Amino acid sequence: MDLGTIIVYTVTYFSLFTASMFMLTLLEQKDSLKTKKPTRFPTITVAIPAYNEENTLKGTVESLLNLNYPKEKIKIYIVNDGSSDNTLKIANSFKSKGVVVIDKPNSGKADSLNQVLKVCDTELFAVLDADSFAHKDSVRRMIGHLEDEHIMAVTPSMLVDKPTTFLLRVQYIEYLVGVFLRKVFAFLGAIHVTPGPLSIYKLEFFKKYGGYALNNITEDIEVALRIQSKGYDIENAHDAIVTTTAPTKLKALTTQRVRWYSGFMQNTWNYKHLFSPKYGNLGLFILPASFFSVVLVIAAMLYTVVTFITKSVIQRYLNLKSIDFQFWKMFELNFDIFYINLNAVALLSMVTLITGITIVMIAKNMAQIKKSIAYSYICFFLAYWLLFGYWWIHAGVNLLMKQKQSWGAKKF
Amino acid sequence: MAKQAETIKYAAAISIATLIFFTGLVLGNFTANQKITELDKFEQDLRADSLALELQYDILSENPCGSINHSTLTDELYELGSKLTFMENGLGIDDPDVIRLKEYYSTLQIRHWLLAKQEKNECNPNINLIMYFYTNDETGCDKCDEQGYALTYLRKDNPDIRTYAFDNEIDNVALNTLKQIYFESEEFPVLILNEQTHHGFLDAQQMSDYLYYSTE
Repeated sequence: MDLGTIIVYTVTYFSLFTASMFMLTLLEQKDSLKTKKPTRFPTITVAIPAYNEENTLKGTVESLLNLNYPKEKIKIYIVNDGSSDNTLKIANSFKSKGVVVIDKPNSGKADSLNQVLKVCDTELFAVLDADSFAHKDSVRRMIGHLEDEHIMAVTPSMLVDKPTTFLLRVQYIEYLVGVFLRKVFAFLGAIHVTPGPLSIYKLEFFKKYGGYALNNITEDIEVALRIQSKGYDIENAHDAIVTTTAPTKLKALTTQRVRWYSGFMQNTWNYKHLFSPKYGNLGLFILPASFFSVVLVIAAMLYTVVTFITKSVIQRYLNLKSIDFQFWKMFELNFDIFYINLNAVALLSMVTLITGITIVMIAKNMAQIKKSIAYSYICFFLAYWLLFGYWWIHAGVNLLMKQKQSWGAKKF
Repeated sequence: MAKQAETIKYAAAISIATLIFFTGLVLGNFTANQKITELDKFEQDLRADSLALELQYDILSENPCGSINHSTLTDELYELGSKLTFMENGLGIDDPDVIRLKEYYSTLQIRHWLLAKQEKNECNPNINLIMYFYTNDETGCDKCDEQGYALTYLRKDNPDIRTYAFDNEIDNVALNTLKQIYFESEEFPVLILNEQTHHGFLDAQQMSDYLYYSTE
């Protein structure tokens, strides 16, 4: 058995096992897919940390001002983290609508959020990144989950705002898969990130266990792992939609992902005690599976790229050279049904593909998306595995080289 | 109770994954075996055709330059060759069925080559015959893929050129005899162009030149 066959068999079996676990979990909990209606509307502080967000901040604040939630129960704080553009000016323009603005030198996102936590006196505390936009019913659909005393935080469903380019379409499907995964992880008690685009926490958690960890490049992973390690749960409101502005350029996207994945590795290392059956599905299945899936994707990517270059590109070039580069001869292939490859490797690869499509379709249904996502899925299918493998390798190398990551201007 | 439910769920997920995975494996192997059966049938048809052509030769031996049409048999031989290559890529070079079919395929090719040589000598000097020996030994022939490609191109572009490809690892008495007669060294690929041996790679143009000058 060659290496390629071993990789295909492992990827297929692993995909089938995880997909089966997810589907069984979803079936088991299908009655819990309904909106958790709140019995009351607790007071809530929403913090918007902003570093050079002049293009999106206005929309972000307006989405909060338009929330379908009692106005007297919401306090909005914008923290200008030493921006060098017009962020502060835009923030100040909302003061007349009751928004509080904190202006400070650049010190990073965690410190910005801690500044709000210091003055926060509401029952709930929420974070909304300054490039994200909350649906008017999002908070209302989220808070019902927090009435359970074991639930310390709740996350929404995030979607990419205006997916118009190739790269945005790739991210659109990735976020859509995230909608599915976050819900299943919630059912399994295994959410390990409370993302910046609108996560809501009980303030008591921060009062008891301290604010955001400074010098942490992914404070949203750290706080989620801390909640899990203290024995609390994190819920997901799949019908609470938040759209976010995704990077449009590959370089910016790579910088973002390298920061996320480096942060994930750092934080899971710091919370390595969570890799234990004591922490249920999180320690037994989700965290180990997250790392194993990364290993598999990197192995598949490297094998495909190396094989493609050595066996396909170079060989094709040499073959063409041997016939004096008569390109049109390449297309003189006789079609015969005999040559359709239906061996075990091909069949199992198809099974993996169908599994992936099924998950995306379920996610589409959960996020109540009506329009076709076929073109976006093709973009995702073509590019994501390559990008995902590359980002993880990049993040791993950065960690080994101890290169500093940044949120805004602050280096960690 | 909850823990027990989770254990049952893990067991169910493993069972479902295992069931689908092995169904895929079994189905995949089934379709591969179907192709072997198809090749077997093809091989039998070819054997019958080959026998018929030999009888045709016997019948026409008194008039060797009569109108003999080789093209159907030649095309079938090439088709079997490309199907065998496909099977070899899919099942691996060590697969016993592939080896058995290749042994028989080699014999068929030699028989066809002998008939074609007779045709060339007695009535059709314009046809050119190329025997090509390759090896699947990874260190043995880094130019064999290109050589095969160039030969396919040459054959498709020139109906008068007939090519016969032999795996050097096939242990066959007739093939070994040919190697004893024509091989001058163990350098691969080996090309026997109208009975002249060449060791090493030749591109399509070089092979054309070689055949042209050997005919001159």
